Amino acid sequence: MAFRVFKSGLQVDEKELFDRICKGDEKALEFIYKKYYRMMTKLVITNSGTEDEARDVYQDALVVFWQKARSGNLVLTSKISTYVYSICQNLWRKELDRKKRLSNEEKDSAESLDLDSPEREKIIARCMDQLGETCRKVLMYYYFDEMSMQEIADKLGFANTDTAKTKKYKCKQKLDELVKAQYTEQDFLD
Amino acid sequence: MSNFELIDDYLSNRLKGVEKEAFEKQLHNDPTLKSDLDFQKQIVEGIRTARATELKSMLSKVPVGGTEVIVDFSVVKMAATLIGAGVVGAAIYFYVTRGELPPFEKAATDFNQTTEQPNEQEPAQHDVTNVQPDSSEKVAPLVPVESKDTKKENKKEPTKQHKPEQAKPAEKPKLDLTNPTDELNNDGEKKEEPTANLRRSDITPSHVQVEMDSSNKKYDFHYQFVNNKLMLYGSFDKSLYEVLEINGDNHAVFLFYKDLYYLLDEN
Repeated sequence: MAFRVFKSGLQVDEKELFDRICKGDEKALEFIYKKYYRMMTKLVITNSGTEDEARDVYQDALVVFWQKARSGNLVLTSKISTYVYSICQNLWRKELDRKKRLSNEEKDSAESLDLDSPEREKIIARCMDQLGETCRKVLMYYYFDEMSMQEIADKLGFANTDTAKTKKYKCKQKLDELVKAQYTEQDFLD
Repeated sequence: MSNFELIDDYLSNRLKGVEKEAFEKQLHNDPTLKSDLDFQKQIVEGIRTARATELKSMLSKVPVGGTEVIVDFSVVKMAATLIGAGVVGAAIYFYVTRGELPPFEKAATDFNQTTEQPNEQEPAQHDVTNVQPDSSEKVAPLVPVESKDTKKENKKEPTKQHKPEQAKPAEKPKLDLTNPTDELNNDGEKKEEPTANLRRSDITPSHVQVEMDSSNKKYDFHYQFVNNKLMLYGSFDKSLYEVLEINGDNHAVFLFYKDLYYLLDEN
């Protein structure tokens, strides 16, 4: 009897956590991060990784989990920890492969394929910083969290979805202009 | 729907099913659309990167301390190992050092058993340390004397001064032990006599130089006279002690410690 109560209690906690993540509750993400920190970082540390790399991989895995959950495309068939652990495994395996490639002198060809990419990313990041805080949030919620206009309106306190839609349109236009001003035509076409 | 809206929905995963397939077909046939898509894709990726960075930054501020504990634990384990090795090493050192002290054991008096049983009779049985109970009358007069000679000095002396005593193995110090409280509980007459004796005797704080060694664990409550110095072994520093001299017809030196008087054999 007691066992049954205990077990159902756990299930509710997991479900509640996942629901909160799906609704965009960042505190729930922080809770999960703290709860499984040691378990997840140990995976990397015990497999030739440093503590910084372990932290980075774990955070990347949680970001992936967050985005999947927020997009509504994730149906959890396991515990959150199992799912995140498998993402950590994949990310770290990928990173180890990348390191191996670099050490096998495939470095040059890999870099030459995408030489301008880091520079473009920096330009866009700078342009994002030039936007106001509201614009940044609207765009991030729309493109990363894939929130609906209603959710964005609720989250940022807009009067209605039309306001959210207009805001999103204007912010995106502004960002495009900022980026275009720094790009040359050749940058895009290359 | 304009191209801008189509691209935007496509990149934000909002274009589904048939509309998505139709858009992908259009991309193959329209280079301008493809170019626009590539540009927008870079911007949307930039927005996503900014959000991921923001989330990671938020997580970095969450206090965890998980791995620190692991590191600390390993450090603690290492420290514990070093301390353990140090303790074992010190124990071996002192054991070996004390191994050179058997003559001292003969010269000194084992106080331990006397302090455990402060009444006079029991210590008299220890012939190894030659403990001899003294009469309470002789000890009682010392009660009023109040002088404290509490010199605390270095610990390395005993091993150096040990050898002179080695030459006198036949000397067996006598330990005089009494519990003054028993005397105080006696009737008035018996108290009077020692008081009179006290006044006749010239009782002074001893000028005997005292050295102490509290690190010697084998001899934890012993004494020894070396070159006119009184060596005390044990944790005497934890409580006050007095060394008293009686300069009458019979010269005697007493150690007053924890309410007990110990007659010290100066020979």
